[in-house]
Amino acid sequence: MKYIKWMKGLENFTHEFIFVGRGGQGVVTASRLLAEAALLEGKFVQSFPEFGPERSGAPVKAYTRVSNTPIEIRAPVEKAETVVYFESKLIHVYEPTTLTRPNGVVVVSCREPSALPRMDGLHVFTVDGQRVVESLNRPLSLNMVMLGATVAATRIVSLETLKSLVAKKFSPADVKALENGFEEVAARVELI
Amino acid sequence: MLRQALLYLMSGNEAIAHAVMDADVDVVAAYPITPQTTIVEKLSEYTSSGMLDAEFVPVESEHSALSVCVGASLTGARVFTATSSQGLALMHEILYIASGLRAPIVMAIANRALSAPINIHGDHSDVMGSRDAGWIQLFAENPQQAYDFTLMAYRVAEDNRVMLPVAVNVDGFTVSHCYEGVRVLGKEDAQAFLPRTPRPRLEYDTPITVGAMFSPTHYHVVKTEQAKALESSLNVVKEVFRSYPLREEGYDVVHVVNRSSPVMVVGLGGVMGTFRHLGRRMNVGVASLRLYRPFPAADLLPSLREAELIVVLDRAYSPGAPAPPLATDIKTLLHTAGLQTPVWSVVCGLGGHEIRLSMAEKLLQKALEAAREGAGANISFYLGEEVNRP
Repeated sequence: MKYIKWMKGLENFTHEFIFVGRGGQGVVTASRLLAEAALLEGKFVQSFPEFGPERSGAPVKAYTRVSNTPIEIRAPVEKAETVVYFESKLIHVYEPTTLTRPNGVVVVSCREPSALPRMDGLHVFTVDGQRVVESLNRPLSLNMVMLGATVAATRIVSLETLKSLVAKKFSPADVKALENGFEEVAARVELI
Repeated sequence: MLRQALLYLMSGNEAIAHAVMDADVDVVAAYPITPQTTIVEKLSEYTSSGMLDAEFVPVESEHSALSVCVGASLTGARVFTATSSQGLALMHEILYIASGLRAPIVMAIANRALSAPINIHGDHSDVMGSRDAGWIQLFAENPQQAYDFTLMAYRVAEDNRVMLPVAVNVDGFTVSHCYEGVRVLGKEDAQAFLPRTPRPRLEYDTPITVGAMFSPTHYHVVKTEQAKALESSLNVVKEVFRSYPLREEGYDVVHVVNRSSPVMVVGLGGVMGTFRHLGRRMNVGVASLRLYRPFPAADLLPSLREAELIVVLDRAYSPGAPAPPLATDIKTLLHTAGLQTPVWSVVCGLGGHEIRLSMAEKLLQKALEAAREGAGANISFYLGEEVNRP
């Protein structure tokens, strides 16, 4: 699996993310933390959820934009460079090929990667997020695992920035979940 | 000298609450309503933790919230309230009392649709219903402006040449709940920007009467004076916008890109960022009004003069009127200037209806085509509908 180095050689870039999960899984928090980490690294950022009344368990999307130029657009992300699924079933609710730009990155939490549908033209990274949070006995830290995995796949921010942010705001177990998510994917990413 | 400005990730609502804290207000009276709620939550947190030394009055309705603000403001206090939608509608009669009594209140409005049918999402129906209440109306496009405009609102409201209430409008959700980097002045620099100026006020020792009954021979005098005060506050707003310490170049009351394009899009609020994003790529002019009342006619007109087609975006209907609110203003302005430029009056984004990049792009393409062909008809439609040119 080869990883596309998005940032390298790009003078002007805007990297758009869509986080897909269910109400209560921390999708919005993940989107916001990624924005805050990028802000700390000097980027222009934007983070907002798909708006509506919050319903636990309902499919939910959150968007993050990271850019090295000011962000003026204030519309939802239609096609993202990177789409992150907190649950593999949601692939059937929001088709990866409709949400992701060609040659984009898809990060999925799943137990059986072989059971995933084909996603032609996309770089797919899987992490068994549920297993990680079960092993840490932290069912609510799935968003940290997915954030770690996202950073491993895109290198949009450094893991260190994100770790210090999570350490400041959340618990050491969340930092661990973040690291585990990162390592699971980083091991399978080859930088080119 | 300005201290190092601090940069935080904040939502539009959080930015407003932070500005209110930096403005060191004395009284906050507000009733929570979606999508304004997080402003009130933050201010409640700031006052209870001592970060803001203010009286927080948890009222039972918006009518009372603004009533508390009027009373407190007349004693000389710096006051704040915030609302949305039905809450603003419930304040309606007090809006006129606040401006008529020349109370320099600052209120944030997280703009939201009005019932029925019930809808919690963003549009400008609420503020357009209060358009003629005699308040200064600012529209912030993003969280940074939400912070900046809230601070500037106090400077404008309390200026002795103005003494009028100011509303800072932010689009419900798309600005109020959107997180971006926001540079804040911090308390000390904000205080330096907002000195407390003495003004006539209610006091036990030197009693005065305010809001007494006025006969037909005098009522119109007061109302005419008030209308003139709102009109002439334009110069003060411009002066304050230019001198804002966080931006070397200050702010313009009308922000324009691509002034010489054949198509000029005019509108209010967060959606203008999306149109500017496209306008820069498609060479379409985009004029965003940061000040809506008083209407900055002279500042906007130069950007309209050269246009062959003007597209006016409204996020509200004015049912039964010749045109929606902003389109009416623009058509009046064009008529006064002797211009007969065709206007596309486009209502969009009602009740949070997403204004997607693809929809906005299609509109601009159609407008460019029409301008190229010299098709000069006035038409009106809802964004997303087919554009039928006669």
